[in-house]
Amino acid sequence: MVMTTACVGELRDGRAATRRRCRGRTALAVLLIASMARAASAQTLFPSPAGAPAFGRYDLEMCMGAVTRIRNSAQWNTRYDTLTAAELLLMADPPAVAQVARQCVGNRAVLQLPPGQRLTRLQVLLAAQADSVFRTELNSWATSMASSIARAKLLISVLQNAVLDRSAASAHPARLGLAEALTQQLDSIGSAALYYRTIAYNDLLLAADQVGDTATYRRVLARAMPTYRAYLAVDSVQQNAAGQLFFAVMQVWTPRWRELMDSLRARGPAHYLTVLSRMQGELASAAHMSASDSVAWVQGARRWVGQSAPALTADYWVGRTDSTATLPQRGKITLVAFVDDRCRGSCDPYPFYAMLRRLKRRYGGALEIVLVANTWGFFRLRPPLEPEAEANVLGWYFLNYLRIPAILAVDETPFVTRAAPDRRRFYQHSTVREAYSDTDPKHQNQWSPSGLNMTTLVAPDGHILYHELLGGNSPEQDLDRLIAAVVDYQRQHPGHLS
Amino acid sequence: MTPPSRRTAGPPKRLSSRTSVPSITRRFLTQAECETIAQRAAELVKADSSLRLLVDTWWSAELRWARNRISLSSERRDNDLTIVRSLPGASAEVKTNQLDDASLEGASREAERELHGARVDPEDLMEPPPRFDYLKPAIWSEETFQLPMPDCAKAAIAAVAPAERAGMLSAGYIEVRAAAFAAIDTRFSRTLYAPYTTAQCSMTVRDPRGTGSGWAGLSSYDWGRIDCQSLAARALEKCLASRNPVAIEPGRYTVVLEPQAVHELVQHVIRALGRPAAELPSSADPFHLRGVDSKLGLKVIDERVTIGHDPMHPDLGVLPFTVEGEPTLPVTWIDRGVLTNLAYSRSYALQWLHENSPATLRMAYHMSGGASTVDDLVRSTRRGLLVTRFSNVRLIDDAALLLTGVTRDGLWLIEDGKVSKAVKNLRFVESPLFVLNAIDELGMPERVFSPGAPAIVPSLKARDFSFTTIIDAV
Repeated sequence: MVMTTACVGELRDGRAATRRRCRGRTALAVLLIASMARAASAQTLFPSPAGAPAFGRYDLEMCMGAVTRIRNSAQWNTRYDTLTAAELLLMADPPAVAQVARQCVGNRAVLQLPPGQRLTRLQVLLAAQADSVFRTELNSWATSMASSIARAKLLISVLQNAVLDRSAASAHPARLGLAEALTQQLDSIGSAALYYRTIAYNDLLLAADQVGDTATYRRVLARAMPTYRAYLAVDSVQQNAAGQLFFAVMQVWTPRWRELMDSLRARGPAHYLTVLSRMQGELASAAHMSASDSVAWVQGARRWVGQSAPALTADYWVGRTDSTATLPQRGKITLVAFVDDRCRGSCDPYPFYAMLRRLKRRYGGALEIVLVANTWGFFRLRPPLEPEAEANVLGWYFLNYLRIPAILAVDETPFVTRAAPDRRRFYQHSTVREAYSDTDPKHQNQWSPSGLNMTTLVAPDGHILYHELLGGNSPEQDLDRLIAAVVDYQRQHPGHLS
Repeated sequence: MTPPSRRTAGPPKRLSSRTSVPSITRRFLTQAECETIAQRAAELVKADSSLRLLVDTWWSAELRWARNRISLSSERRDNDLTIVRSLPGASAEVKTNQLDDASLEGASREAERELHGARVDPEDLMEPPPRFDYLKPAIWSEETFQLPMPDCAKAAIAAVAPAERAGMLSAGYIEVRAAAFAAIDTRFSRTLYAPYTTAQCSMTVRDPRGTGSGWAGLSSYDWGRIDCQSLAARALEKCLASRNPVAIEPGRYTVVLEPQAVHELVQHVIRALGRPAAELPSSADPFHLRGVDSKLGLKVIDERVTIGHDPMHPDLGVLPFTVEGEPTLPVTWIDRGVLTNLAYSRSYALQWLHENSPATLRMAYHMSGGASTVDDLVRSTRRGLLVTRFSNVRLIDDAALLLTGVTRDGLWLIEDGKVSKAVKNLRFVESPLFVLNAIDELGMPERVFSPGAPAIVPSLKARDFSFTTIIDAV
């Protein structure tokens, strides 16, 4: 544009030579502007990567969008399992993210990210496996911070949102070594960053436990305990029950988890339950608050563990070939999961359903999954349904659409209808849901009965090994370990638990 | 309902060319044109997820005057497209008013990118919507659609003339609109299209010295039902009668509220008629009773009052469907003082009532009344205030539906059954529910000025209406 303006000035002078030269330069400028306009148009229309030049804004946007999605994958992973292939075209898969991130780094496009997107830039670098560039970038950012507290906040933010971001693990593995180095960097800040150091240790310990890195866990725990103690000793820190319980779990429960699993694997469910009970006592003692709400909650939630599982009954069975055997069936590990298709809970538990699929894939015939659902008179926004029709729809939804390899038990939900003009239906608990719920009935809400995704693992001998009220993503690791141990025990002692 | 045909010749031009920009020569898009645009948009998007298109296509002629002179005369038209892209449990929308391929594709892509960050919404699931039977309310007037702009100007000039002759200043607004709303779902091959017209005329006549002001206005789907000259005469009459007001002590007064004033209070009652909010525990909803119970079945206002809406009423027509494609059906909200219905969505109906029909809340309504005229109401009042209308009405407490606002364009003192003098405007703090429980007498229901949401409301006389402050503004 500058070139064009200059040429206009020279043309006004009327010099022929300049005019000729300027004609050429003007044509060049027009071509340049035209190509820029075409590029701008291409950016506006978001052409597919296949048709675009080697690298463009589209790729970077796609990369940034993908990284954001991975960060928010509590939402997005929920969908991966249930979307059709056509719908998947709308979003990048995690492996594609790593590929695009590498492209972004290779083309130095990542440096074009605006200053406000610095954390995203670090995430892109991690996704691209460019760890050394990541360190350099982070150090440069940290040294630019005005105070040690600001530096600590930055480090903890990067640790949580980039290095140990659980949801990003599908795009890049958690960097335990890098995280450990960051905790050391935080330690060097000293007592000013005490609070952030405890958070960093918590996250690192949980990540190490999750990936089964025992050596790192023990090493970090040894370094973390003085920090925890120092933090709890600070006058302004409230000595709350939840904090004490958390540290007690870190000391008592997690390091001995494998020992507990070994007892199950080698000596069977009965011995496991004895050890578990003893450990619960130790935990309460270590937390110095056996009467506190938190410990009561822990014990309350596991009240069912060790009991005989109630028999499952249902008004309608879907996907069941043998209709005579009592469920949970002796000799088989049974996972009883209470599911619901209504309200927000119907969308949030997609990861839970994915977990069920993974467990079944891992353990095949050794594991029987029984879903328990209730009729509510409607399914999503379809017209009202009669119970039998609804049972069929629920069967389609859970077994076909969500592809959960399970048997579905559908119970008709008892309800009362109010007189006009109110006319509302108020639902009550079905027999099975009542039998498996350990919540006091007077605290149960009629509309949202507790037990959505309530999971109960029943050993082949009929005893409950695990009972989780809250559901969600968390129980997979626990369930996986328990089922693996029982399967090992069954293999070593065939017929012992039948 | 006649489909728009003005300035058309032959069938609509096909718009499916990838590069062509449709040349729209009509006042608004026809159903076929809307469907063609949706088809083109569906072809342009790659992924096989849902695409919905909401089209608000409109033509509007407006005329504004102030200080007895026309200050604006315009004719506008536009097409507001909303492109909605959905995945199971989430949707995102982008708006555009450009109909060319590049814009449609750009908007669709933008919606897809928005979709990536959208929260999961369980009600936004791709279930095929059921087929409803839609009513055919009276919302289209060929006369309104065909109204030539000079006729609007003539009406305005005729409205200004009496005020000018009387040495007063007139200001007003006339708008005539012809439009259509289309909701097209390409996935389920469903097209809903409804053309409609609206017309409104309102004016204020003021004393040049700023001591008096009068107002009159009316709206309808049919321009033929609005008599601008009688409105002008009424506004002038009120202006002349409201000059040189005197101050009176604020306090509780018996009031005679003209229909427009009643409407400005009662429309807040209509807005509050939502059932889920009324059944929310600890809700601050005026119709919440306790726990999860609403006041359904309980007497909430005077038993002489019934409030409801029948879309087939010739003066209360509204669009026959909502944006979600749900039908607008007749409903009685309050039957002889008893709350008999509250609005709810189809989702609520399925979950709680085992039904498939929603009770859609439209702001259009009919309120029952008596046989008295405003003059009759005044004659039967020993001491009170006659209110033309309210202005700047605001909600200050949800639970009690407490409102505040000021009187405007004519407030008079009534003494011994006669209007004795104009009084200065007053601020009120009052709940319409209280007013509707303190009714002495009801007047005849009549149409009021309520563009977009027609209403038929009576005048009424109520006791103990609370005025709190004198307002010097005229």
